[in-house]
Amino acid sequence: MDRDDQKQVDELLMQRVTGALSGPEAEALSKLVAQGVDKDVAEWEAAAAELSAVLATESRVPADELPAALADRIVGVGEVLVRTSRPPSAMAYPPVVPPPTLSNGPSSSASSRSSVRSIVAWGGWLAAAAVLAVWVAGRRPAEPVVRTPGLSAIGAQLRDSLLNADSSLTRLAWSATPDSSAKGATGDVVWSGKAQRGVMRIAGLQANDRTRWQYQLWIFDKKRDQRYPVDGGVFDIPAGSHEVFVPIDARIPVGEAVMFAVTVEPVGGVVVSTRERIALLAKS
Amino acid sequence: MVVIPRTGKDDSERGAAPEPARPHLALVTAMDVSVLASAEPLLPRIAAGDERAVRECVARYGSLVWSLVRRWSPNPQEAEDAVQDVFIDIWRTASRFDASRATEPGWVAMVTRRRLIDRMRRRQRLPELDSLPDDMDVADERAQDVAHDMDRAARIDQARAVLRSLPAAQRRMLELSLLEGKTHDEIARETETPLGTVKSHIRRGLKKARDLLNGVALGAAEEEN
Repeated sequence: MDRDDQKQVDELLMQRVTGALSGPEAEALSKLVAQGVDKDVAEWEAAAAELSAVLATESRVPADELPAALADRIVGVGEVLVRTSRPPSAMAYPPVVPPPTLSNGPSSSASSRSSVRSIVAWGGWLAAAAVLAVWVAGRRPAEPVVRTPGLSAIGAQLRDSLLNADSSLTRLAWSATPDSSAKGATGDVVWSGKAQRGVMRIAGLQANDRTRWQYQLWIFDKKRDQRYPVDGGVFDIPAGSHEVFVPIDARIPVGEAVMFAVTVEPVGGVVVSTRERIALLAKS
Repeated sequence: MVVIPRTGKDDSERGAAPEPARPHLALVTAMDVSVLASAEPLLPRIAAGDERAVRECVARYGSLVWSLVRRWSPNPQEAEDAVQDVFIDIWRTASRFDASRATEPGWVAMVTRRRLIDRMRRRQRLPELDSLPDDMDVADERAQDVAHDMDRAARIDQARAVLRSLPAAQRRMLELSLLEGKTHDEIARETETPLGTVKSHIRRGLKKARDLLNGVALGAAEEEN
């Protein structure tokens, strides 16, 4: 490759890593990548990333501090994702069986060790995807969510796997309160004390405007002071949804769950609810 | 009707819950990039399923990610969506981070940039780009040997050296592109510089950084450019 050709390649690489490639340029670079410049793309991207990290930290202003409520939301989702995608040896809860359509391995060898491991790994991400399903859809109901195929099916799958894995789990039907958000709402909540995991199934609850308010779950633990229920996490009900499955993100271990409550709270949830608006209750 | 017990206390009293409070993220944020690069990596712990590392990771890199995201995003709602998407990408791809080949802040910045570029291209209705490898791999055996041996903090020093060595106008163009997420056209307008010159400056700056990170001495890298 002569100097001019190299310059042209460099120009394409630069445009690639700054997001500026046009359609024809992207095609031209794809052809070059097929000829072996893929490593160059990675190198240029790494250079852009390291420079970006330095520029971002050296140019820092107070507004660059990640807002606390947003950070908490990210942590909440991240903890569920990481927990549910934990490698099999570290899992503290029953494996989740994935929908057959998503299984990579041959269905006839489901009993093999590798297939089981694959299923467990898939199950973790399916559980995580279920979290994202409600969360992402709640953030932007009008925009198609391509990351989480079969959202309701995935949530239902997690719930089913808990029901199958733990014969001692708690399953309680929701009672709708007179609150305007809950008119006609139904569903149930399953909670596995062993797995410290659960899923809410909710139908008919009013879609929330996540710029103004969100729902928050509270878990009443028989072994704790009833004035201080365990925060089960905030969640959204997307507009147009019929039935949603919301995995429960308990912030601390729950000894014996005896009641679940869904309250209406400001965006991001609260540390302690005033309980002014209670939408759903499920009690043993 | 089932009645849920009310405590009869105001929020401030009830706020004294028996559980230990988690540290506020702002109090534990480290920002100097050398400190970030030298700290024990968190991504392997996340890849291993250690959920406690999630909070540490957000505390450590929240500002880095947010500083890029909020500048690249056209409005606050877009920024909020983007930053959450970025961290989901980080959680999902943590296992692909290789500390011998990149600094952790560099890798986090790479994940962030990919997501931001995707979103920018969607807004501009540009075609999606082919996906890239996730491991910031390096080009050849020579470069691999150097990169494997290069101390993480040294990579940051090299990146800093590149920025320090650039003429002010060229550095400004890199800032507008990498930090602010401006298009080349926007940079040309803002700096009143011909588009070709803008592209040339950014290309040379990035190429110099690429060469230095691959172990080419600064003088030689400048000569090549």
